[in-house]
Amino acid sequence: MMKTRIKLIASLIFVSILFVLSAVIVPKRPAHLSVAGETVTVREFDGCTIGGVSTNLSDESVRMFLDGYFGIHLGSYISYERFEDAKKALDNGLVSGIWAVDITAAKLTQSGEYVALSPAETPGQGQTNFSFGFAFAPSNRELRDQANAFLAGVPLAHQPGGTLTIGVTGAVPPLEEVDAFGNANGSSLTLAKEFASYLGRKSIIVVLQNDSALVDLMAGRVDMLATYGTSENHSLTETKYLMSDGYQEISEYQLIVRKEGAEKMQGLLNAIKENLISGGAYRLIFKAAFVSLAIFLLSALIAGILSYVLLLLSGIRHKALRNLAGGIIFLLKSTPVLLLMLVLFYGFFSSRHSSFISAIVAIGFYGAGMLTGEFLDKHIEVPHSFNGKAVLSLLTSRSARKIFILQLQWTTIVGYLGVNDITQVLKTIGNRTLYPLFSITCSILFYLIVVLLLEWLPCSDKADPKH
Amino acid sequence: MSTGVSRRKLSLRIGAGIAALVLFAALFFFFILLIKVKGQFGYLYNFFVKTDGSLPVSTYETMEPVSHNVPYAVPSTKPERFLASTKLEVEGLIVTDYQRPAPIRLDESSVNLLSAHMGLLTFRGNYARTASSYQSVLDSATRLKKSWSFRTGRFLKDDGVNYWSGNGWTGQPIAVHWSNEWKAVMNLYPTACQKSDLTEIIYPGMDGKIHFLDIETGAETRPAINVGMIFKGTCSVHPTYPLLICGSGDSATGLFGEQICARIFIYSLIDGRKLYEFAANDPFSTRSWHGFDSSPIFAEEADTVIYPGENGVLYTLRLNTSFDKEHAILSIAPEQPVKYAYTSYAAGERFEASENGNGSGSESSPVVYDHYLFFGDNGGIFQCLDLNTMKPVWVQDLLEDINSSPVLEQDADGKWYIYVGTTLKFHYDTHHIGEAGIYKLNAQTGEIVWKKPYAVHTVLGLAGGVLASGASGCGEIADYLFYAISKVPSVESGYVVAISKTTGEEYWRYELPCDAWSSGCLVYTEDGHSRLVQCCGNGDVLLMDTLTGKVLSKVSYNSNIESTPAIVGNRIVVGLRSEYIVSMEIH
Repeated sequence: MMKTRIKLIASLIFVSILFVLSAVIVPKRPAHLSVAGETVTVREFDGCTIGGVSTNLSDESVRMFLDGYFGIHLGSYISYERFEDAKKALDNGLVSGIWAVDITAAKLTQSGEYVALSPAETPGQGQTNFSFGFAFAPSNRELRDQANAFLAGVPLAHQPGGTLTIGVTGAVPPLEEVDAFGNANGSSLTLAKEFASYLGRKSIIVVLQNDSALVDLMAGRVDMLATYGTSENHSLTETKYLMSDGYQEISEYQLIVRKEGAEKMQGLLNAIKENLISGGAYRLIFKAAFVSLAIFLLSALIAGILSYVLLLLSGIRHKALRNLAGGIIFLLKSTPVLLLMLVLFYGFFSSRHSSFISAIVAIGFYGAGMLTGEFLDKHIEVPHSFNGKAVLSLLTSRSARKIFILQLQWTTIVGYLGVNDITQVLKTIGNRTLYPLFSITCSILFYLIVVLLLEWLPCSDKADPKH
Repeated sequence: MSTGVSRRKLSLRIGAGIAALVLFAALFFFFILLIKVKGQFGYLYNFFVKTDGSLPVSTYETMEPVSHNVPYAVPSTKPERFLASTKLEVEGLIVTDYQRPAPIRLDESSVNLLSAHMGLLTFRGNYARTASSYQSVLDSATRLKKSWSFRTGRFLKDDGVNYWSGNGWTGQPIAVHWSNEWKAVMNLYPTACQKSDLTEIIYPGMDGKIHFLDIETGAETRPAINVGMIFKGTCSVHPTYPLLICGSGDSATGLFGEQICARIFIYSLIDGRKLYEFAANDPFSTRSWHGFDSSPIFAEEADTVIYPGENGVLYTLRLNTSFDKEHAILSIAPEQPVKYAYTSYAAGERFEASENGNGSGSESSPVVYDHYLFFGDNGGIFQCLDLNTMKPVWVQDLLEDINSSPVLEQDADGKWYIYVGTTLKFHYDTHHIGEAGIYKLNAQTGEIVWKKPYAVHTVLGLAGGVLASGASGCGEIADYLFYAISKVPSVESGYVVAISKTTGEEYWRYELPCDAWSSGCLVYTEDGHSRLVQCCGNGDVLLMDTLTGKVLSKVSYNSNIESTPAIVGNRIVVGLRSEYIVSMEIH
């Protein structure tokens, strides 16, 4: 009890220091481009930092594209997971401008707060350069043809029923937007839903990250993407994905800058307000905390069951089965959790909940490997017939608790698969509010609390007096 | 005894150590090889084996011309033997017969671009592609010296990952000495405008921009034009008006996966304004691939531009150019282009299905005489076209991809000949080795006079053979023709050769340690001698004696040079793939 109290006090001191630091230390901001009316030109962006929503191109490729398109030499480029995050970065002065297609720029400039700058020249200036349409996997040619018929207003001969899973990313407001709570809307989405009705199917909306949306489409997690770039001028000979006819014509990309410069903000209260309260952030954080805990508890359950089975196998006389168990334990212990998670995500699960399932299974497998190894190292024996009391005793041992805490810590990586856990959500909030350190500290606090809770739970065995 | 054992153990350990080192070195060498062949084991053979290199010349019987200077087909060059179909579009409609209302005719001075703006206005200086330098008769030419450099840039490729950089093939800079009258109305910076002897370098590049530089200092003479598409080939400037025409060599990509098709642009060099663009995503094309690397031809009298495309379409566009002298406004009112396209039996057999049918297009720059256009394509077809009826006159099959731009020249007897080279694309053996050649064609009939073949490698999508255009000598080297040949005899080497225009036999051959896509340029000395300037794939620039092939001087940039240099006086300007335009002086 005494030790727990010391840990609690130490944790509180650590977190307090982090909070104070994180509220004071904000990222270094580049010199902001001053916009005198609308006379500023794209050439003035030489050496500046530009932001934008993430795409399936690398940041370096996007930077190269922007350099070539606008005829400038950017200082750096930062991508954001959501368009809203990029806009917020512009508002806060983290970036000097953000790129957007003309329709998005037109929407933003309506408020009077922003100026949209066109490149001095583009191929086909003033004309349609490309369109947005629906994207399909190459195997879904029939669905693409039906989309073209729908867009052309051709009645459908038969209505097959079923569901149509529509992927949206929120990368092109107002065609599609996704708010902080994952609610999607926009004209493309409305059109996609009408297409589902046209087919007689029930529409299911899945929010995707823009940079991996095509991968999700190819993996069959969604039937179509509501908004992707099509072009009549397609010179590639290899068909990587299928596009419907366009429904929204685009002339050019533009750079958006703020008219009045960036908002200024600093201070602990401001950090709390911006990160934890504004825009209902607390609801999002609670939801994410629940996701993290669910992943932890379910993966711990898998670890417990699997380790029990492996221990049983390790204890039997049959040599081949014993060796097999040993091999599996080695494999599970040695494979990095992130890689195991990616293998499961890209190789085995293709449902729209696959990221969540992959995360649970991967962390569970890892925990099972570690837990079994720990028991074997300590020569803890398992009764050959099922004995609930003995199993409970094993799972509430100090060794098990150590592994469960490890599993809890590994849940921080599930954001790689697009799971909105506590780390991912707070990281996104931090990017948007320019208080990344503050939001990460909040994340650390969450994990400290859960670890303290786990430490506080009673154990079936006593601590080794030698340690 | 124990000493003996420990010695044996020591020997064993040393032996094992040496074996491990040898194994490690072998693995390292193998890994380097794998990198070189980009993981494609099928090409390993090419990195160990040399070809036979220079092969014996083949000569052919040709028929005696029935008349001078009027091209016609003989039985072996009848168009119907080679072309499966031809088609023609006039004012947006497919027609079978056509007669150009404002006939095209380029006399000798028009072909040689003896124009108002002086300099190098097109690839190889004129529309016969015979002027490899301008005003380059020098006191002496024994040494190269590096001068200025100018930073360019890169441009994202349409795969969204790789990028184009610097300047590419054929990528010759344009050099223009503007009159004071033109300079006064152009958007030149004051220092450039005031410079009486300004020679301006105009250089579209693979950074998607058109750069304007002072040939003497490398300083910008006016703002670069940001086009937003890349240029690999060589642009052309109108002989009279400050009009620039350039074609993009590849499509551009966007942030949502869209593809922006390559096209042809026309700019006013008075204010840098884009006047017109055309040829994007042309449904008349026989191929889906669009690219415009050719250097076009201005038929000034007919106010028409002639532009063969890699999309398999030959465009002729009447510009209706006008210049408002009072307000210094240059404008054009282009009519709809007259388009010619064809399919050939040969290309149908040679191209893969992925090339979308049997169409083939032109990357090389055409030559012209009077109203006859001579051009080759990447399916191996070389033809003479009547520009006023848009009908093929004669056709020849050169069997391989024609990347090298032809050279049109009249011999001492008044007969016209074409010199053109090929790259190995189709007829290679299981080891990717085959023949590429240099041909002499009778320009009147299309018959082959001689063929000088080379055994070359074609690996990793990079064809060996002749990508450079020939440099035709005069004076003491009047019978000399200089060519660079790639991937011969080894996959990582090349030749610079001097061959006889009369027989095709080599005068000399110099082996390079690299490819050479850049065309050689000739400069002359006041005492009647001459030098060849050859840029190489390893970044070397060589100054060679034309009679012996001896390297007199060399400078190195350690970067691939695909572009052909522009030489004006004793100044050389060329673009590197490493994102620099550089200049050298010949002393």
